[in-house]
Amino acid sequence: MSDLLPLAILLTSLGVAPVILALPDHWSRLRTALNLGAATIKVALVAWLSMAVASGADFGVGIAIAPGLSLELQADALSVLFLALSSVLWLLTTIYAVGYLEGGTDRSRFFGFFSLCVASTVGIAMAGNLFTFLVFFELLTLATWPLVVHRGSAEAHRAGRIYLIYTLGGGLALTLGTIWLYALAGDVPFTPRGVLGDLPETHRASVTAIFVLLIAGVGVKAALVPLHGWLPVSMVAPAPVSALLHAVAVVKSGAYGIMRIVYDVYGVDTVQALGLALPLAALAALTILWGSIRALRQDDLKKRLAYSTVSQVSYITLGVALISPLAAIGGLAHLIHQGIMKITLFLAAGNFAEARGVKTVSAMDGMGRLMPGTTLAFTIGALGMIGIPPLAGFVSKWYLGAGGLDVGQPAVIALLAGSSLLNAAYFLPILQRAWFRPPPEDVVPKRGIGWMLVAPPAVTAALVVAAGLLANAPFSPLGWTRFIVSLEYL
Amino acid sequence: MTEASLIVSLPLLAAVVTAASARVARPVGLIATAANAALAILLARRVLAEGAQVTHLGGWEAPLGIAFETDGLAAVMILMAAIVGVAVAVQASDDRTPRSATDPGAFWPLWLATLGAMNALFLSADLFNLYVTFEILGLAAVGLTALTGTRRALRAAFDYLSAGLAGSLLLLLGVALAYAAAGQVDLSVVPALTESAQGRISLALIFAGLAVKAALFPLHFWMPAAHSSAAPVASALLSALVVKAAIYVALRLSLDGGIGAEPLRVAMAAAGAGAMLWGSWHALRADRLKLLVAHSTVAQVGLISLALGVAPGAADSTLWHAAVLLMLSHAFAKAAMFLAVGRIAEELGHDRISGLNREELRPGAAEFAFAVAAVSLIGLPPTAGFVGKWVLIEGLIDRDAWIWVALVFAGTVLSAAYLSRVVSRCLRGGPHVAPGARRPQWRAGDVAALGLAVSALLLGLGSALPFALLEITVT
Amino acid sequence: MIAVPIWLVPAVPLALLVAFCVPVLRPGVRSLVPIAPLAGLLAALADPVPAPARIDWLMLGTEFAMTDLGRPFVAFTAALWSLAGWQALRLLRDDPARDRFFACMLMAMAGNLGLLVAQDIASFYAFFAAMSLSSWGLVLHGMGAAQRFAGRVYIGFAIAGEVVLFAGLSLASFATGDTRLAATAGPEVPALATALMAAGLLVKLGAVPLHLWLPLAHAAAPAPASAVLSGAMLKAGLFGLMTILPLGTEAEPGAAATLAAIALAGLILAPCLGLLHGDPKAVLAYSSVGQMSLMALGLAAALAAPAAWPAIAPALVLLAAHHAFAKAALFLGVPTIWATARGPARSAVLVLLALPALALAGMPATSGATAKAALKTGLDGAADGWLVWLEPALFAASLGTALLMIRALILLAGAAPKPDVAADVSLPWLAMSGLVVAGPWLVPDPPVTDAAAGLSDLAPIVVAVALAVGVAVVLRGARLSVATMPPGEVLSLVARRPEPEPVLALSAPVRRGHALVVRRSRPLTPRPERGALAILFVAAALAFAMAVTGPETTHEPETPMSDTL
Repeated sequence: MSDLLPLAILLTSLGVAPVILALPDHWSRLRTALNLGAATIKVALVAWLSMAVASGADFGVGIAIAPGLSLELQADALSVLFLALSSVLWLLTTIYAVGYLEGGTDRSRFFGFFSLCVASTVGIAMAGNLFTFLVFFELLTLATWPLVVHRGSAEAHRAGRIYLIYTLGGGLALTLGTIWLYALAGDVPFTPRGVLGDLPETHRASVTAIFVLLIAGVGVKAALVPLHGWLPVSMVAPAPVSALLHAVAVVKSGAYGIMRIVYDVYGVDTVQALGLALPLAALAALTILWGSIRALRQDDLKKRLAYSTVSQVSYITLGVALISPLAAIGGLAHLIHQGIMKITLFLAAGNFAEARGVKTVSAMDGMGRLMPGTTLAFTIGALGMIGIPPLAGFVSKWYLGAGGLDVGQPAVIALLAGSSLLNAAYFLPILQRAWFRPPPEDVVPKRGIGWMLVAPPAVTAALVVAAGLLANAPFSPLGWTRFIVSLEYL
Repeated sequence: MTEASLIVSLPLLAAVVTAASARVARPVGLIATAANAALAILLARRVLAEGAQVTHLGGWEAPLGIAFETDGLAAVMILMAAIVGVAVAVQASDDRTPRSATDPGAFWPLWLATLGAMNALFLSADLFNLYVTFEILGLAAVGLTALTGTRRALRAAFDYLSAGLAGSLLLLLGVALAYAAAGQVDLSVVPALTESAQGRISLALIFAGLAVKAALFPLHFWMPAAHSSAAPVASALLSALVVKAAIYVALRLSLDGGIGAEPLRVAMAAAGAGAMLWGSWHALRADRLKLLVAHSTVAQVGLISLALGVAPGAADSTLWHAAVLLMLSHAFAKAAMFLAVGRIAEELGHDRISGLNREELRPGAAEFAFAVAAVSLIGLPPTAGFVGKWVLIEGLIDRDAWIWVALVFAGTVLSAAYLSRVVSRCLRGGPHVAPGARRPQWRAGDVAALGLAVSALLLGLGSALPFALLEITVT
Repeated sequence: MIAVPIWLVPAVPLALLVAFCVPVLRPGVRSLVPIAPLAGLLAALADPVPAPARIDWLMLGTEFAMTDLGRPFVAFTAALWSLAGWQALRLLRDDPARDRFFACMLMAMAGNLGLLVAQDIASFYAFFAAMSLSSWGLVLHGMGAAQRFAGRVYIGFAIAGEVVLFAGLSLASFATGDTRLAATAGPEVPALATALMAAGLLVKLGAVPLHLWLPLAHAAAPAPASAVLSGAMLKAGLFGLMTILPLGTEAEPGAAATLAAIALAGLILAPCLGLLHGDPKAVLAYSSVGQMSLMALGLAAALAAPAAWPAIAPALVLLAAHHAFAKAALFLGVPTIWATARGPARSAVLVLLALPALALAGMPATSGATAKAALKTGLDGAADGWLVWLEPALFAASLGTALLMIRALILLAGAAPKPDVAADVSLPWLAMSGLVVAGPWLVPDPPVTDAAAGLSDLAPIVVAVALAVGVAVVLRGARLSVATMPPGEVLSLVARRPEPEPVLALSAPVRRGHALVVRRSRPLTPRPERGALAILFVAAALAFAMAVTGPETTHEPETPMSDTL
């Protein structure tokens, strides 16, 4: 029975998606009930699952698709990490989205694909082999496209097209790499410490090429430079979509894919032996700096946040690429930490836009006085991003730095320092405007925003504080990542 | 034993009945289609349970009698035809569709004849029977093309007829040559044919004939017009099934022909690659929805042909299994697409792609079905198209055939490009839609299209079944 | 005495901060701000000191303890915050943005007190960052152009300092494998780590050339904030340095020379630059730069001669405490000046203000004299080589301070009164002045000094007064006036011009997407004749290809014809 738990977790969102899609637009009560019910059940199931996994239980369920090809769902500690992130944030974002889209059009379509999007994320989290991962990864691309173009304007369609070109292109690279790997090695189940350790030396070149393909494939979603172009463009999407895209679904799936590929397909030793770790780390470093530098020049609030995501997500990649348990802890913890911080920022930004029509940094003057609660949440998110202790971002950075030293790369410290400076340079001016400038005289009168818009960022901001303050507590993200890393590196 | 004979005779009998009385045409046609589907399932179950079946009609053995061989491949094809048929019949039975599109007096007999001929074709085990069933199929298909009776459709049907006749002639010539060379027309002589020059030429002619019927590049010239000007239900049948019949025969010959027919195989693969590029290019430039879908059929047939061309015969099953899966996926998805296009055109009153953004009309179920079918045609997971492409590419990589891998990927990219032209419009909203815009009502056609599209999607997850069936061959 | 749990020291201000988030509670919490630091004061004065506390689940494992070094720092820091909070309460009574100010103040207070009791790297860094960042809010509070400029400079330096400190701390912690703060002074810490940590802390200390933020921030912030900035927060830098530098263990001549050079530069530059400023608070700030440089000099000496550290350490603490009280008294006096009209009242205030000024200049019988004597004694123990220069340096320091004090008092005497400042802002100032006067007797066990206060201690003050009088005479005689320097020194050259506010935030029109553009293709014209030709050609080509390629020799026919017939 409990073997079916992963399936149940998947179905809580995959099952409701078609139902919601089929509902008429004006049945909003039923739709909201379905959405929130499913999200709540999922959180409960994930909590149950994490308890079970913590006590050493093993889950796996699968079906054969073709000879040598099967769809496998499994749940290990790493899955639980991503599952917990996506299920909790899905619940919050759903609440937010219900409030945000109240009275809008095409809500059934929106929430249907929203559920599908989370279903794919959950599938990615619980993928038991590379094939399954690929299936859900591509499904995610498809499920998010309608969300990106939801506004329906020409600009949204343009963004959607760019998004599709990037992600489908990445999907092709990933598909090619995966098929090639299957042709070489047969089924590629996710196994701690990798499955490619004992491939003959003659395959060295192929395996390297496959690694490049796979990383390029997931790198599009992880927004590694130069594959990041879609992310800032797709900011035309409604705020909950941006939040979900950045914090939970798309970008994180890419980062999670990199983790799976490095840890559970290749294995850290193989990656090291192939000499692929350093280039990957260098790419991550480049992305970290480039994203921050680009963020400096954006006046559009969401675009600035988007470039910030480009930069921050690569911390995760960096943590994976520096083959060190300490760095891995940092990277893995950042998966959660970046998620809760970025979602706070996006939800707050959405509230600014919704309540006061504020969409640019230069219009942020006086927001601290006009919307203190939301601005406070934004502030916490931003400070966390910079890495100010005791917020969540600091914990990740601390471990990443230690990891860099662990592998004899003190340059990582310099990188983190530089990135923190840049982060400060693009976040602090926003805070200064918000708190320390008077609101303009012709301020847009406040449109009422209900608790559904205010509560989610408040909760996530509290999570940011808690994740940092209680980092050493057993069930904190940090505690859980230590548990995972002990499995990968021992 | 009984299923094989029944599944051929029942549709043909029903065709006669419906032709005789237009009044009962619809119920009889529906029942016959449903019964056909039930029989197909029974047949497949039997093959799965008991292995391949050989049925001798009237007890006459080869070389004198007609033998039906039901192996896994035949069972899969019959199932495919049956499922697509059910969906098409559902849409055709909706009496709210314009009468001209599915005149019960004409549509049902033609459809049932097509079905019967196709079942017979899938079960045939000798070249002459293949030829005969092919002719029946071809004639019924021309009738389907001309169903609407518009000038355009008639002209397209005439072109189709001419091309089909030319193909038939080549086919007949080939079969005759084969008979002269081998003294019999049983499919099992095909390996022997590759040994002699005469036999090889006969094979070449048969392939040329098939290429015309399958609309394989560069002999596809008749097809876009025929498929795009026919009624939606007819287009669905033509594109999803009729074209497949020719490919099926090519596959049979290729499987039995072994390695001997290398030039033909290369020609198939090359033509397939050409078709993918040509069809996709024209689909990118098409301004009408049905034309786009028809050109997409050219491209997809090219992909299947490519898979067949690179498959080295029965010895290595991976690649032709992939080809069959691609055929299945294409059948479901393309039929769904044509049915969906029919519904869209019905709501809009036209099928111009630029006119899809109607302000007063919200996207409906048909457009959703189109999008889902598009996902399958592009070959994105978890559809059957994806699994087919996966197996194909894995086989190609195993053989280090990187050029073909690149071509398949290029075809995928192009298909994503031209299909997204439509799908992006299916996601219209915001300023493109007026506040009080209505949503199309649900109709039988929507259900049929959506059902087929979803089955194409789910077939990917259930690919194990066709793969298991395909393993079963006559030994 | 009541036993105060050590964690209460930072927790009380933090708890108030949390309560501050509830609008209803704000008036009540506001009035509690001056009381918030008292937990720290109680903890520092408690005997025995509160027991160390370890909280494993908090951050990366947190440890609090009241060390011997931290104890005096906690004591004067808490006292200072309390009085500054009191004055802020009075001064900003009608400020619409006072809640923001008090929130920042509580946060900075928690950070400042917390870092003095934190025993592990992460929490030390966290408190340090909390203090630095929330002080940004204090600096920016006035929201004018000067504040914005000062804020920009301040936060730039602060963040850079934080980041460098972070780098140093993580290097050190990785090298020692220990997350305790005490381990950062260990012998296995690499020199780079120590250098980075020191650089980060020297920013806070205001060492030349990292002092650029200091006069700007002090001038821009409201007076009570300047008082804590100067009195308490700069000392956090000193405290950090005293903790992380390997003092009293091994001689580090190179590091010592560098630090000494920085310190001497500060001692000399501070008065030179400070005298040219026209804002009394900026002048006071430069005096802080000088005084802090003096303390850095003490550290340099201890680095050069480890044996002298036991004597220098208490002297530095004493100097720090003395400077904290005296400088705070001066800053708190500024609003008092604003509150008093020109006339006898102001003269009285000025006379009272001269007390801390004199103390700073090292007037005998003040805390300044005691502190300087203690330092001198300590340095004497270290005398060797370049340390002979210390004597002139000390003289220069006193002279510079004295000159700056004279300049500040003159400027204050001429300051225009501000009618909206209530008279009761003077109460905290009076209390602070009382503490300054009582200073020498407050020291629990004064360090031994060899020389009693002599006339030599008066010399710098006398010289300074003489110089001031001379300059005044010359200026008046030649009808000259001193041009004041723009705030920010070199940074004033790069200060950004105010940018025009955007009129309309309209983005460029978006190009229409290709996805929505119609493309026309040629009309469909089937050509049957071409089709027929194509069919024939293909058939012929295939037949030809098959005919010319014979069966492959490697492949044996499986079923010969005869068998099937």
